[in-house]
Parts: sequence; C-alpha cells; structure tokens
Amino acid sequence: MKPYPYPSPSTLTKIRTDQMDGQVHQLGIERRKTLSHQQGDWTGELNSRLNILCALPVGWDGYSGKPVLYDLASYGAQILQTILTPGAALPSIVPLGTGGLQIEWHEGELDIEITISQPFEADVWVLDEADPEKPDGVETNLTQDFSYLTPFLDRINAKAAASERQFG
Amino acid sequence: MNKRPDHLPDFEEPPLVEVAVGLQFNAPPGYTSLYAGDVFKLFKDRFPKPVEQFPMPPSFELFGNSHPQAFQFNLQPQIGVNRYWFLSNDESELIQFQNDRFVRNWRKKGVSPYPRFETIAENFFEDIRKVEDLFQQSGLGRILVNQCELNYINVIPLISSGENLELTEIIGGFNGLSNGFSDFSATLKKVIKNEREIPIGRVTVELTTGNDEHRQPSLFMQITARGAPPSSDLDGAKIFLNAARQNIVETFSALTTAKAHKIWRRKQ
Repeated sequence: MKPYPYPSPSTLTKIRTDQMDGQVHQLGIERRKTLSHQQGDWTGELNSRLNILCALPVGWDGYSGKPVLYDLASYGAQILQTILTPGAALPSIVPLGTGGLQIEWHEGELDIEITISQPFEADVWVLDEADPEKPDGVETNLTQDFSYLTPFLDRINAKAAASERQFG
Repeated sequence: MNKRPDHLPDFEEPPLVEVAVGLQFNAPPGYTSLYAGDVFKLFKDRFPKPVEQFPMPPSFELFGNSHPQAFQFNLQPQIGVNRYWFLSNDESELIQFQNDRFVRNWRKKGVSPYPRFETIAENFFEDIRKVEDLFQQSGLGRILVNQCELNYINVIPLISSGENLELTEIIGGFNGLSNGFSDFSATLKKVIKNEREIPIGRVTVELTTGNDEHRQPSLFMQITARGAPPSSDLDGAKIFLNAARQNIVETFSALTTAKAHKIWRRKQ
C-alpha cells in the first residue's frame, strides 16, 4: 500500500452530501475531508463538491489548511471531464492542506489516486491487487494524456455497474 | 524576428479580422489584483484604455478516452480575480491580462492591413517579457507557462464581385451543403502531436454562417490551436506558437477551395 502523505483514511472527516448547502459539515475527527460517491445528478454533484472545496475556510483541517486553489480545481475538473464516461463510477474528491486536491476511486481490487498539487501536473498512483508483480502499485506523473487510466476505470465502472445490478 | 516558413500558403488579402496570441501560466502564489495596476503602467503609453472584464477560466487540452465529453463543469468564478483589457487608442490592438493569462489581440479596423503573424508574435513576446520582468522584480517568480493558444478569426463574405457564393464554393468537403441549406454550423477538431507522436494539443475549427457587421451574409471561421509547450518558459511557448501558426494556416488552406484562394489572392 502506498504510504499516505496525509492523515490516514481512518482519520477522515466526511462531508455529508445531503447537507451540501454551502457549509462544511464535519463528522468525525477533523484532519481531511472526503466527499463520498453518490449516484443521481452526478455532474451537479461533482460541480458542488469542487465549488465547496474551493470555498473551504483557511484552517479547515484544524491547522493552516488552504482552500483548494481555483486553477487546481479547474484542472481536476477537466481531467474528470476527459476520463469520465456517462454512468461512470464517481470518485471521492479530497482537499489537501496545501491547496491541492486528490481524486480517488477505491473499488474492489483497484485503487486509483490522482494527486494535483500544481496546475498541469498530476501524480497518479494505481494499485491493482490482481497484479502480484506490483504489490506497491505504480506511480506515474501525467500532465495531458490520461488514457493510461482508461482500462482501470473501465474495470471500476464494470464492477460498480455489476454491484448496482445486484443490490440496486 | 521569426522568418515566415517558405512552404506555408500565403494570401495577399486573407479574410482575417482578428488574431489573438495567448499564454496561460501558473497563477503566481502571492499575486493579488493590485499587481494589475503595475502591469497597466507597463503598457499605458501604447494601450491607454483599461476595461475590466470577467476572468477567463483555466482551460487545458487533455486526452483520456475516445468518448464525447459526457458533461461540463462550471466552477464558480474566483473572487477578486479580474481580467483587464488594455486597448490601444484606435482599439485595433488589445492586451488581456489576468493572474494566469496574457493575451495580445490584433483586430482589423477599417482598411488596415493584416500585420502578419511574425510581427504580432514579436510584439507579444516583447510585452510578456516585460510582465515576467515585473513579476520577478515583485517576487512573484518566473512565468511558468502551462498552455499556449493561437486564435485566427476569419469572416468570409458569401458574396464576391456582386455575386452570391454557395458555401461549397468557399469550403470543401461538405457536398450536401448546396442542397438548399441556408444555415450551417460545425465544429472540427484535430490532435496536434509532438515529434514523438504524443498528443500535446488540438486545432479546433468552428464554422457558422451569419451576417457580418454590414449585414452581409458571411461564413465565420474561427481556428484555434491550443496545447502545452515543450517547456514551461517563454522559449517553449515560442516553439509551440510557431507550430500552431503553421497548423492553423495549413488547416485554413486545406478546408477552403481554390476558388476562394483566388479571391484572397493566394501567392503560394
């Protein structure tokens, strides 16, 4: 597992999407805020999530955390616009205290994390548990061409769709 | 000054009405809108008319899958970030500046001739270097370019020597257009690749019919080349913009007919 450069998932603070009225609703221990996946009007959902993250107050993490920088959020939005297909599994979007953001999918045996700390620069980490030769996953730096992620996202989307058929 | 590439198609009277050369760069940490006043001072003698505008959102040419874009994001505009226009006295030239953009436009006014890309680009780089010097003197650091953009806007009258022209007499490859259609709108895109065949940008052509400022039926053809430079400094931007210009001129020539080229006095 890739070492988390930020507080571990167990210390996440969740923001409840049903309470997205422009306020940040903090549940649990405050270190990092996650916006969780929800089906439905997902374009609007992602828009709302990114807008809220750009409007976080300074110190949102209990330290000196900055709101997500506008140009980084724009870059993240355009990456999503480029790689998401209709009906795709939605990622979690996590603000970083530095003003960056992380876009994450964790579905079954696949974990994908896109960390954006500079405009036009994305650190991508993929852990595929079906690939025993890479137990720590693969890290790569992408700027413009995100087609590398397409086969992984296709698997995540297929898994999410199957899960929805089974339980939905 | 750059030399015009010998092989490039050349028109004595191109239907160009506007050319915009621009860079998008990382917003410098520590920038506030107060710096815009210092930037205005750099250009006030040549561009004395400031106008405030809404900011342009960041835009990146990205590649991911072959599906059409599933949705658009609409992030709320940044608070306290404005775009400024600095206009020349006759308003034929314009500088656009905001915390992460610098654009220079030439606009056709009256019968003024097109000054040619080489001149526009030379003026553009002369001016952005002044902004970079100011940023450095102010502790904002160097300009780190992440996208370059070149935009050619053509307005093509659908009338020549008093005779109406069919669209198919101007643009090729749209054979059905002569079959009674009165309005036309299309967007074409092609990928720009670098020497290693890696996609770095796109050329986008937007075509639409309408009336020009004299209520004359016209074809509006906007060709934009946008993408990432090979390096984030101004030399990298120059390389991308020179290639973008070639791409745009070749695209324009390929999309338009020999008859139209004759009207615009193609030299080669």
